[in-house]
Amino acid sequence: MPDAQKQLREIAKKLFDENRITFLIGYEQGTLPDRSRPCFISGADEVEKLIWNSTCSNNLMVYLVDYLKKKPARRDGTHPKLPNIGIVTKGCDALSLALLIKEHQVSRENLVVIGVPCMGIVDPDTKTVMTSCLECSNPVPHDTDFLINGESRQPATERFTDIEEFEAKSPEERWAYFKEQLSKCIKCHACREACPNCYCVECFADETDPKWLGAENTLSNVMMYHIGRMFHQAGRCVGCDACVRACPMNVDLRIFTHKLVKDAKELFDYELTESLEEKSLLCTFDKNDSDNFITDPDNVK
Amino acid sequence: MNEKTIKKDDIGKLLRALEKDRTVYAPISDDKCISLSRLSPDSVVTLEYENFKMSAKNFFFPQCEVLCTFRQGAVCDVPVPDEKFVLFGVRPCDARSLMLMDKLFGEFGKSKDPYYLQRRENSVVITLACSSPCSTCFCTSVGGSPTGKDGADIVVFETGNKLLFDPQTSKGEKLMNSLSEMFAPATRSDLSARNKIVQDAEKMIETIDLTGLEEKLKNSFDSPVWDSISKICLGCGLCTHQCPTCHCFDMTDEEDGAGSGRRIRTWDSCQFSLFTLHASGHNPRTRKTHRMRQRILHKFLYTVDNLNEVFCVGCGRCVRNCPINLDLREALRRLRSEENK
Repeated sequence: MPDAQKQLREIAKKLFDENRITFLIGYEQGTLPDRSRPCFISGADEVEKLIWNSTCSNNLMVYLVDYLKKKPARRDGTHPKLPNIGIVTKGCDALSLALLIKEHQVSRENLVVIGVPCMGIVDPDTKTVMTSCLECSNPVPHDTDFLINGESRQPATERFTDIEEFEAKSPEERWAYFKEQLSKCIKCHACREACPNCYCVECFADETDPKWLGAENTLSNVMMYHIGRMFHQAGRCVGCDACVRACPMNVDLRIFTHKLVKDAKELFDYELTESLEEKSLLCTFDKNDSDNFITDPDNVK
Repeated sequence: MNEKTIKKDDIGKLLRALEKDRTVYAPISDDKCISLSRLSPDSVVTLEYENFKMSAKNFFFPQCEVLCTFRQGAVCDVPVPDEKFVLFGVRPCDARSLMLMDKLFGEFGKSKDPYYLQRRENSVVITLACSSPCSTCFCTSVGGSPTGKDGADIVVFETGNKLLFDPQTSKGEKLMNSLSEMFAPATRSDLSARNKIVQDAEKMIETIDLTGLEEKLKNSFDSPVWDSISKICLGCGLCTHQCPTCHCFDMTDEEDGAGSGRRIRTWDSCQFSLFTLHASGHNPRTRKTHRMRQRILHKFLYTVDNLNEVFCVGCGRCVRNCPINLDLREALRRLRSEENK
């Protein structure tokens, strides 16, 4: 069995040779030790640039909405043509992709998904597998057009262990931790821009009329932004940790979004999967939905 | 010969002595990172760091500054800050950025920025020369040096178990004189140890050849290379917010709804799409390509035209921390070697 990277390059070459894609989004070697970076490949002559290994951390789905959001119909009823894109997809990225399709941001028919089985991403600083990967429930993507043969890690059996300590805290202690973490934020918005889920044409934090939050970097404004962003991740966050890796100030963003994923599971019995039949949590309503977080907030865990 | 030394172990004592009539900010470790923080009774000053996450920019050009307050049509100026402070342990690249910002806020055009200039006046900047630079440092390629003096009032060198203080300005000298009893005169071996650090440090820094870059940039505006460089950019403001020389700001009136409020100045980023959005709805820089081009041309062409300085000090923060490893050094190399049509 040829190694995964070789298979990947062969598939990419074939896709270009058969004229099935306009360009391909994958990973290439970065300029820093143990770092890769996203790359756009535009022809068969460039496929040797492609790499696949445990440094390929970025969630590439973040680029798709710009290219694959359906444009408004012309007068004759037809839609402007979208490019055909090949994309290298890990398990977590596949969940992002499923979400983007469910939420009508990306058209699946324009994509050729090359799935890569994942052993976990290694943190370039600590040289250990990232926390997010230890929690991974989807190391092999399912909805793929090609699936690379290779080793993958076992899906995590114990879930949400990373937030146990946080959950054990009292509400006051949690609030204190939230404040302490967010006081490090410099409002560079790297978390938002690195997140495939954050695709709003205009983020509420950028709106000026109405103006939801002030320009000053006070804790209150910073928290308003993060609370807004995080709550939109309930039942949507795939746990890829793109925001955590992007943050230059080491804000522990993961703990909060992961807690919301757990809340979605416990309160609404919902967990994001690759299934396209299942709607996104924030797009659904059921009369039996839990509402005690509003009616009885003191008794919600 | 004004160089003086103290024992390394006495640095805490020295900084606390300085605290008598001014606030002291020094490298202090808090569980995960070392930052330039205010000295507190139980804080331990460390000299073991490459550079701080954030540059010293925030001390002089804070992320948010109140310019005036207004109430029922009456405007009230906010007095310029009068806190006297010392920054100890700034790296030479970050100190050099202050020299550049001095030109921008003090010499460029007709107006001077009283807030920035007053803070500069009120401060003493003590740099700690680098003896082990990061792999992402490129200060020597943009006019700096790991042991450079630009922007510093005193340059400190780590010579064995001593620290050698080399004053650069009268402010720095005055500060050392006020505590003269704590210093010993530098010996010949101290000075030669210093000279060795100066010689060795520069060799450790990677250089990028930027000769002729300016000419190339002059004709690059419509070059397709910008598209290719910025393609993977996420469009966040990490690079500009962490940059010691990025100085673009926004002004906002924060009103309480009853006619009272404050006019504030906050950091802005040319990488945000909102940056150039006009009230009409028109945006002259709609794409990441335009915004990336602006960032690089501003630093490496426009400021050279206007102030005769490249507005990059090679600290490498944008290189180290970019979420998608968009490497400025590589972009510059490409721009320099690109054939512009």
